Amino acid sequence: MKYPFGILVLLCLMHHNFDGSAQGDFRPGYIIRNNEDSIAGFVSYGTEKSNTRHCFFKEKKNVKYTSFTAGEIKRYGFINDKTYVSMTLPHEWAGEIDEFPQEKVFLKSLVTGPLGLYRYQKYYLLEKNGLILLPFPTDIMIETESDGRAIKLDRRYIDVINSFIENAQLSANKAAYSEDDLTYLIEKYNVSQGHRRSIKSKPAIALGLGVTAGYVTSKLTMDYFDKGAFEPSSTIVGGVSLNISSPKVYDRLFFSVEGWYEKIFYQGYTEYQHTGDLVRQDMLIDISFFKTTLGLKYHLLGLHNTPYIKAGIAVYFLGNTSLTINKESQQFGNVIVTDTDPGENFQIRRPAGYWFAAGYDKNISRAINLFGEFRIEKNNGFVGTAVQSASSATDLSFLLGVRF
Amino acid sequence: MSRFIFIIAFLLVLSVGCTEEEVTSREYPRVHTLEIMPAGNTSLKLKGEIFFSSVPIADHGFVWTEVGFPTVTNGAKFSLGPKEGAGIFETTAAATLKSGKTYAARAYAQSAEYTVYGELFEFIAP
Repeated sequence: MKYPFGILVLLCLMHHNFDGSAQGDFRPGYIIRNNEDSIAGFVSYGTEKSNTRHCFFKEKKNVKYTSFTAGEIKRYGFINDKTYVSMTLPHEWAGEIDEFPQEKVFLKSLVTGPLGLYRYQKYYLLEKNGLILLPFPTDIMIETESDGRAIKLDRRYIDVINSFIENAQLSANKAAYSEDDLTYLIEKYNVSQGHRRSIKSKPAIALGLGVTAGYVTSKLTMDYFDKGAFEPSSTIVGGVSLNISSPKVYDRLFFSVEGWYEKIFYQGYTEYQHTGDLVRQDMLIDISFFKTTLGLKYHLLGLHNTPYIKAGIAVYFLGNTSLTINKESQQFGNVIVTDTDPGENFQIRRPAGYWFAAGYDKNISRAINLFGEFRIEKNNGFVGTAVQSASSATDLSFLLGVRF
Repeated sequence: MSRFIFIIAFLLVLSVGCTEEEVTSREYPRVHTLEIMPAGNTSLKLKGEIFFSSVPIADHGFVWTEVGFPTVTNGAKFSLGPKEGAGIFETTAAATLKSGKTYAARAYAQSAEYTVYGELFEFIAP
């Protein structure tokens, strides 16, 4: 009862801990009120569409957020990340923009300088003595020619951009109607005009180191033994992890590499008849190993303070191992003969496995995250013959850790 | 507060135990032979262990023989008498050994219903 009780307590703690903060992806940021007062706090990261309509802001992590419309604040942003500016879109664009907003909206500021670039949902706008809408390219323009049909791309936005940047010997001819292409081009133009880059771009590669400790319970099943022959075995594990991501591409997906040391003991019992004797057999397996896991991790609700899922494979490197079989044969006349051998026809084999995990990541300071995780792994056990595995194992893990 | 809860949870994880070997029960005493070593041609150094016992042990000790499997009836025997509970037992027993001959020996324990032998050890008399 000791272990289930401990796990129950942990579950209660984790539930209590996570429940109060599961309100979305709030990241360090700020708002600037219409009277130019600036307030630091946390801003909901949201989606491109929702970010243009509302700003969800709270001054401290553990308080309820306040919703601001674009009419109520002048600007908001995230530390070292994107900013949104409150603006009214010209009414003459009503026919060009889907669901044209009559009231002020937040525009995502992509580039500032001699030539500004903003994004409103799927639309891009230049700013040079006022806002200029870059016409959204219609799907395709089709022209019929004498010998069939030809496809012509909508170049209207390219022509508009070219009219602004041609003085710098630049061309938008190869620029897609996308944030990356347009940002790159306009920034390049501004730099050519002597302007320094104003927005710090997200890094291409980000690394996160972590340390983990946890509790593992493992259920081994073996050929030639009854299914319940081995009791679940439990142990403590400790290890390190490395998360690799590309925030510039997508900051919620991580390649995860972990390494941990584990020492586990399995004990199984079986009975069988052999040449008239009743044989009672204990199998004792004592193994230490280093395990490396490779997997992908996905944050469901944002970068921090979010549930996540992980999946991957496990590769084992065995350390000290021992396999002992204690066999007692009950012969005629209640004579018991003991025979202990190092495994008879069995031997320790290096297993391989696959796993799935679900957890919660909580940000406690700018550089430190805590996480709790449940994991299930299936592997082909540690025992086999000289040519093949003769076992399988299911591991359930509860892990806690700190990531930097 | 959340940091405190995480630290408590972390310590709880570290406080739970690991699985260790458990001796499974039998209705007879369980015996290991630990050491059989000739000390010249006239004595044997013997060591065994009763590692589980749920019944009174009427007798325990060691048996050895020059051929086959030694039992309490077919070869030499050194009895240590009744024993209470499990534990290691050892003795040096007088023996008449023929130089160069191979012997087999093992520990034993007897309850009212069972005679239990430990693992068989072989040795060559010096």
